[in-house]
This record gives sequence, C-alpha cells and structure tokens, in this order.
Amino acid sequence: MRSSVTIFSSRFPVSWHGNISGIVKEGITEQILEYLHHAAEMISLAGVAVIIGGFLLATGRYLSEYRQLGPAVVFSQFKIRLGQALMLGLEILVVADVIETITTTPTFQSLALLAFLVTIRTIVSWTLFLEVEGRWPWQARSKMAKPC
Amino acid sequence: MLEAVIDELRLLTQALEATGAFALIIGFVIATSRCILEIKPLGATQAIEGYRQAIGRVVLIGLEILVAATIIKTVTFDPTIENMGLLALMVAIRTGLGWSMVLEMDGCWPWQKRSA
Repeated sequence: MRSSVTIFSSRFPVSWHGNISGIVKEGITEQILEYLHHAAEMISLAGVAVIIGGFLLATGRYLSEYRQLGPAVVFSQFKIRLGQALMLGLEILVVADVIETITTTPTFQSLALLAFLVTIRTIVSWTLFLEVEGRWPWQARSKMAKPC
Repeated sequence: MLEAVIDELRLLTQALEATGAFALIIGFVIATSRCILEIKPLGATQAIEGYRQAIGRVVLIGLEILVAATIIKTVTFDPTIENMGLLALMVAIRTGLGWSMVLEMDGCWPWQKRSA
C-alpha cells in the first residue's frame, strides 16, 4: 500500500512518460484501494465494538438478573448472549476481511485467515443453535414434523 | 496488440475487485441500517437474526465477484500455481459459507429436498 503522499502526487505528475491515461488510471485505482482499505478498517472496528458491547450488555444483565433467576438460569443465558454477540461480531469481521482480501493482493495467509474466521463463525453458530434449541441445525424439529 | 488486451483485462479485474468491495460495503451499510430500523417493530432478537443472515448473503456476493476476478487473472496474465491455489481456497470458503448459511436458514442441507 503506497502512502497518501504518493497517491496525491500521482494525480499531478511532476514527470510523466507520455502516458497520461496510465498515470490517471493508476492514481484513481490507488485512491480507491486506499478508501476501501479505510472502509474495511471501520467495518472491523464495528465488529469489535459489537463483541465488546455484547459482552458488556450480557454482563450487565447477568448481574442485574442474578437475584431474581438464580445462578444456573442466569449463567446459561449469559453464555448464550455472549455467543450471540460473538457470532454477530465474527460475521461483521468476515465482511471486513473479504474487503481486505480484495484491497491487498490476496495471499495464502490472508485467505487462510478468512477461512479460519468463517470456520469459527460456523462452529459458534451451530453449537449455539445446539444450546438454544437442543438439537443440531440439520436435525429435524421432531419425529412428527420433519422439515427435511 | 495482445499486450494491450491484457492491459485492459488487468484494468477489468481491478474494476471487478473494486465492484465486489463496494458491494460489500454498501450491503453492510444497508443491512446495518435495516437492522437498526427493525429493532422497534420486530424486537432485538429477530432483527439481529435477520441482520446476521443479510450479512452472510452480502459476504457470499462479495466472494462471488472476487472469485470471478481471480479466475480472469489466473487464466489471462498471471497463470501461476499460487493463483490457482488461492482460487481453490476462495471457492472452498464461498462454498462452505453458502452451505452453512442455507443450513442455518432452512434447517436442511442444500442437497436435501424440502418437504412440502
């Protein structure tokens, strides 16, 4: 990623080699990449904010409901709320990571990171479903009403 | 002549990649604002569930466009084993995410028939 100074100067070339369209195209592409990079950073910040906010909310409700509901119920709800916040945050981080993969030249490392994020997201989502519903997502709701 | 075409293709792949990234960003913004608007009428749980699914669809579309760009890159001006490996990994991610999303939404694997 070039610095913003280079991008700025590439739009107003001091020396050029008779290829204006090439310089303009390159300058615009670099600038777009820079914007996309910033957007990806903002989105990943939003994902982290969702995880932290969800953690704070879940903790607050855990503490405020501890007296009324008793430790066992409150703990399982706390766990589920944490999982939901984590899942939503991971989903947003996946968006940011795909954009990041586009703006930088994709490497095996960046794609492996993306694959890990998607895998973790899937595992968290399935196990959370198991904890809330008491069955895996691909299992039928009951013997009587089979969705599949 | 050939070099000129390849140059145009290079620009085309860059344009495709930028389109994919813009689709992701715009989709993310739309999904977020819809979730915020739907919290009141639908309740937080349902709004967030819809938000998660919307973001999943956005990611799938972005990956799809990225796969197209990488295919063009791989078959035209940069046919390396590394690029092909990246392409394979991308397609694997896209497929895995798509299947798990269908499973979470419908409760069936994509190859299972839905009963009437």
